[in-house]
Amino acid sequence: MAHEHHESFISKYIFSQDHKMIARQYLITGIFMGFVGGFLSIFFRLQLGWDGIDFTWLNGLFGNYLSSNFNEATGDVSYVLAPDKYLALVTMHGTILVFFVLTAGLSGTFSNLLIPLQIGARDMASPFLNMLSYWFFFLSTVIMLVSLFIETGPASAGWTIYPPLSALPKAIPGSGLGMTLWLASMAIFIASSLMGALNYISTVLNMRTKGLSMKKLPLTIWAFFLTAILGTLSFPVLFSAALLLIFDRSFGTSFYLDGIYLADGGVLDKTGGSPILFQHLFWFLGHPEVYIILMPALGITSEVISTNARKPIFGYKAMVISLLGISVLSFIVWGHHMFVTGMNPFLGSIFMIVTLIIAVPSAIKTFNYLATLWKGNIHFTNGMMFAIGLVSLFISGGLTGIWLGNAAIDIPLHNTYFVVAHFHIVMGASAIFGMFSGVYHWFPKMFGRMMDKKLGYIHFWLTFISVYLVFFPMHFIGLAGVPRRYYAFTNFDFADDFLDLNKFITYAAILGFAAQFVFLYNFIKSAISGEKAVKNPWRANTLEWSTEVNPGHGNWVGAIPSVYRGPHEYSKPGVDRDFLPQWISEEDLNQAVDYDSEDHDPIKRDVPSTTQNEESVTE
Amino acid sequence: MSTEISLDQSQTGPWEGRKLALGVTYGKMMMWFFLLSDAFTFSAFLTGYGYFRFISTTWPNPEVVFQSVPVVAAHGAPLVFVGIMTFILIASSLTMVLAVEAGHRHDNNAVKKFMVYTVVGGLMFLSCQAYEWNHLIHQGLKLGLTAGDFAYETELAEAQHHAHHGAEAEEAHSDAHHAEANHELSAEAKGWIAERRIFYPVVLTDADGKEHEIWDANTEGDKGFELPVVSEPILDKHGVAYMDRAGNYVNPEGYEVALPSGETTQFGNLFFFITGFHGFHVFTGVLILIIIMINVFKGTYIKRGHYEMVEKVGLYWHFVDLVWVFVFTLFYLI
Amino acid sequence: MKQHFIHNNQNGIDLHCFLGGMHKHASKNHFMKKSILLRIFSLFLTVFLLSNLALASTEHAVKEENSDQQSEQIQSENWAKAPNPQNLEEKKISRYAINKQLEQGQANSSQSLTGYIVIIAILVLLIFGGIGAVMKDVQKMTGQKDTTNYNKINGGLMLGFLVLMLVGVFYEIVIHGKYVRLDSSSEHGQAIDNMLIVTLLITGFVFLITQIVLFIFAYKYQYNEKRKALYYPENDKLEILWTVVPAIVLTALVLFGFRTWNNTMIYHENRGKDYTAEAYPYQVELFAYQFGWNFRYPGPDGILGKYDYRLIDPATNPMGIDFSDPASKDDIVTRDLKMPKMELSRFVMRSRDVLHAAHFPDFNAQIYCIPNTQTEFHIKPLYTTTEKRAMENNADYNFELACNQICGASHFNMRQTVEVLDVDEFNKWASSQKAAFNGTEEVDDTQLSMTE
Repeated sequence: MAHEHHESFISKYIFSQDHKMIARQYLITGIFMGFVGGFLSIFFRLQLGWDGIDFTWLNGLFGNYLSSNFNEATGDVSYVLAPDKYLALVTMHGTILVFFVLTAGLSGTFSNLLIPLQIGARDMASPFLNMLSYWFFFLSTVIMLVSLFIETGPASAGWTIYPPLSALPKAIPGSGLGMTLWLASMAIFIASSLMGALNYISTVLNMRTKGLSMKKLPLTIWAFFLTAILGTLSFPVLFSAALLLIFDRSFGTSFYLDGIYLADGGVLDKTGGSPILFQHLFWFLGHPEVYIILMPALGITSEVISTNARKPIFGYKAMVISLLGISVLSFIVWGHHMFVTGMNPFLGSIFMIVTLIIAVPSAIKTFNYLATLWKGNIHFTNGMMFAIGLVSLFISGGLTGIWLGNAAIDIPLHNTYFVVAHFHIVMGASAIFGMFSGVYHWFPKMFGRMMDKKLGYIHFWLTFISVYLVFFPMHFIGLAGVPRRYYAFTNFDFADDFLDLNKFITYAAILGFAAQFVFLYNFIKSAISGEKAVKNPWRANTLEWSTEVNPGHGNWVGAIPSVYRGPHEYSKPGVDRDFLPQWISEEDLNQAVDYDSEDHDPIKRDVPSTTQNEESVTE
Repeated sequence: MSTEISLDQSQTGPWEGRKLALGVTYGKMMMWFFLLSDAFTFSAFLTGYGYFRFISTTWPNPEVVFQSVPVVAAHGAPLVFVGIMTFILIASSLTMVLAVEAGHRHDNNAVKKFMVYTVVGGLMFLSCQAYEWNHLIHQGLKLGLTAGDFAYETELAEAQHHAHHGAEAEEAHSDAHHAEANHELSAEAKGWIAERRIFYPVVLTDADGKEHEIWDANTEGDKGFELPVVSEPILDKHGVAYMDRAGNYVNPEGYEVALPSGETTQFGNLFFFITGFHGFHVFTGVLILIIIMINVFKGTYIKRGHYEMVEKVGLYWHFVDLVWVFVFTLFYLI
Repeated sequence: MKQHFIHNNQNGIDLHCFLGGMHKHASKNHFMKKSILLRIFSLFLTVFLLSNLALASTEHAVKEENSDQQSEQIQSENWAKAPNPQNLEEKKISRYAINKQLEQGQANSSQSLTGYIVIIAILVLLIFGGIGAVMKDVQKMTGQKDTTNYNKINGGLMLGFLVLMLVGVFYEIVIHGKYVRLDSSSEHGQAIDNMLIVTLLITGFVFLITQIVLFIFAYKYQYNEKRKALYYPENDKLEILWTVVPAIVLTALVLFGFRTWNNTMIYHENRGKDYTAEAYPYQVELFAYQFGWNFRYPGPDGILGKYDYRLIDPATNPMGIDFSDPASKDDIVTRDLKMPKMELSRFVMRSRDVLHAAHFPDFNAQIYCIPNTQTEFHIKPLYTTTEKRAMENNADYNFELACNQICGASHFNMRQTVEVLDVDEFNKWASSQKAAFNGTEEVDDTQLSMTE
């Protein structure tokens, strides 16, 4: 039952309502923003490596980020990165990567691509809303990018934008127009995220195909589903925090401001507010946000490891319960970002206890991954490499989380490079690896072609090595007490021990960033002219591999397959092949249908389109 | 747990695929989840209110702030008006329920009728809210009060001027200020000064150091305490004049005004912001109701065979009502 | 045109067509030639961009090697390079840092060498990658199949990476472990250090075991045609084991941490008491502003007087002290921070403008400074500055205070040295300080300039 309606270029590529096209749109925007965020990080890492490095060559495009220096000794004028613009770069790097790449780029892409395909639906519950969610995301991307080029600079108060710094343009220039644009962009982003989440939730609940009970859902779907619920409940609170900040900045209120004297403005007559309220509201989103980023990556890893190790994921039930546990607990731990704000110590104790509890489900998942690998038969596909890399990074990053979750240890380590190392390893490396793993694994589904394996290996090893080289030493810098968001380390005795190490880290970061160009090249080249994919290149069990190589509208030609078993029936005793797809029925098995006859010709489905119109049970 | 189930056809529970898991169509499911997210938005704001309210030692007394009813009474009717507003909104929720029920019976005329009532109720609520805002703003409570709103000119501000601008400039400056504060003013302007300068709460400290919390210089806040009535507004050293509830000017001489803290500011900020956000939801709710109502009039749902859209709008409207109950409880009752 | 689209639609190779040029029906050779050219071009582009980047970054290293090693020269260079912080505060470079730079001047040459090596390594990789890719195209053209066993290579690399990782971790600990402060100079800090060590041991142990297991499994269970994986979907007992064991370990950490946290933050022995001069003979108010610190001592009466933000004036009353409060009249305002050894100093923190944080790495102490609200932290130093200098074998060592919450352009520049003195010396110093109030509600500004 192919859709025969005529589609214009606009309705097919631009304002598409097909979930697969929307997934590709999210992916491409996410990759683009990833490069922007990475570029910003190279920019400020150069400054950290060589304090006062000369950036005159950037004057044309990024002159507003530079300040000039007249060197009396030599008579030169040089352009260096201005310290407040350093903070702007750090802020935008964080914002872009956390929200635009790891939230929208990761969840948006894979939820859109996989939810209908893996649950056996023709499309999302509301394709129109889905389309809107992408275009709202696109709009927020544009606004955020525009803010990079304005004269006073983009938002500069850290991606956490604590007031009063973010509320007062006189405190730092980026808190003027740049901050306004940031807030506008994020408001639109939150709307986009919400629209997407509504779709994901209702599709998973209502549109599963016959036989697909919740207990047989692939772990990816569980992860995306819970992520969507988490987003629905927590993003509104960021929205509220942002709205109150907007009012403080532009409408004269004082929700977050009290008793301020500015050097460049005198006594501010705003009273009664509290900056700590902002922190509570922000981190109420902020903490679930990191799980919104991490859970899809973990879901993808479960799928990729199971498929490529040719073994069922160990402890499916435990994995689901862990996901549920993480989801629920993530709402009550936000205070661990605020241990040293002067909050009541009793409250701090409570947050500490709950934070350390949340380590338990993460540990369960890690052990389950290891058990899945045990006695497996591992294919080192590119996706698998990144999945294994994710497990390694998740272990490293998660363990340092235990340090920070302990309130007493957090006292010396809060806001130091130890925290930077922790969250980069666990988000900036681990979750990104989940994204890469997903891209390599589902590239055949998205573009009908395979990515180049060798380039993929080069990309993996270079990235994996450079990630450890960049972030592992940072733990030591943090343990020495060096604060984050510092323009230079030269001004403190305890910090200037690390000037050389900064150079090394910068080199490693440049290596890591360069490695991503290998990926970019591979991605583009393979999309255009990569080796054509077969229907089920990884010999996987989940439903998305039962469609044609390039599924059109409606995903399946003919009836939607029903599901007869769980998604991890690999290497089952008594079965010929080392996999047993979900859609192969008992009859097929009895008739010894060879579901593994792979060639460049896809298996023809000889089931004609049925008279029963299997529109999902919607209006 | 076996992952292979051979006789799936016998699984008939609601979670077995090809079924509506929670018994609702995707449209309604989306509305429910959207309302859940909106509930969190409002919760964040109301939590902010709770945060400020409970870390403050004093807080404006709602029974004094909200004591007027339009046309009928300028004061002396604490919380009556908000009670009327709440009644109107709940009644409109009731008519909405009836509309939905009529939709189940496919009684298009009844649906029309009840939706009209609901829209009217919503519009009435909005007008009441607008009136309440207008009244409070005239009284001087507003969004974005600053320290400067609480007193015309403070001694501290004078000291600052002196430090920055030197003595002569200060004299000229304070002359200009004092001219404004001068008693040769139009009656209107006098009224403006008097009304505008009174905020809640004001704490007067007498010569013995005893504090009196006053509201419009009446006895509500502090029993048995009264200021003598005068015919012209008399400004205390901070340039503040006082009026009692009956509208008479009173003489604050001999009492020291404690410059009010941020509580009143926050009350104003939070009140207008949260009721404004809620009002915005009522407004959009009314718009959506009108659109759906037009559809009902056109007979769209007769053709469609079901009134589910009316149900969805009904859900939104009930949500708006429920939020109002919480807002009203927090601001007016606690 | 329409036909064309529908045709491609069915194959879904959309990007391909609309990027123009590379039509599906073109000859294979034409196709291959284009892709080789594309590869070579992109290789050159990457090399070009990277070498620019390398030149820009190593240029500076080269400059440093050649510069004159005089202390004044370096200082003036630094001063000239230093972007002016927002409110024209001096850039505070410690003598110690300058001397370090002098020493490191000699070491710089090795650093730029590292840089060159990395750049060359990248280029080599790219060139090999490019060659490999071209070779693959040639293979395709001639129909040969790629028979490299990538599984084996990657399996080996996994094991190799494990070795590299363990070596790297060990190396890092050896080289940079000495910078990790595990001998805190404050009493509560020592308890936190113990907590740190315990956590390190536990997490370090788990880290080693799990990473080793991961990479060995990856290597050992590589794909082998003859083998079939073990179908082992679950084992509830095992799940319970590795739920309960982490839970127990974490509970232990929680309890330990709970105690350490409470002992640091709740100040048992003084719980419930008011902050009187008797209970807290040593109090200091830290006042953070963009971009420096002021300090207020309570003076002879031992009580810090009231403050009012509306009174703040950087010239005459930078901390906004309310001198109508009699307790304020003997308060001392300085820009020096001194503490008595082995006595509990009660710090109250406040900020003038935005959020700052007072961070004492030596004392394991940190707390936010919030505008117009006071937060509190108690520190009992164990060593005087002199003693610490002897311990560190460094005559220029100083305890330092840093700002640890992003606060604007010169966030990195809010350096303050802390001096710990013997109690008698401290008391002598404190009593020699002049009260801030000089009778006209202004602050005596002779003590406002930096002494160190």
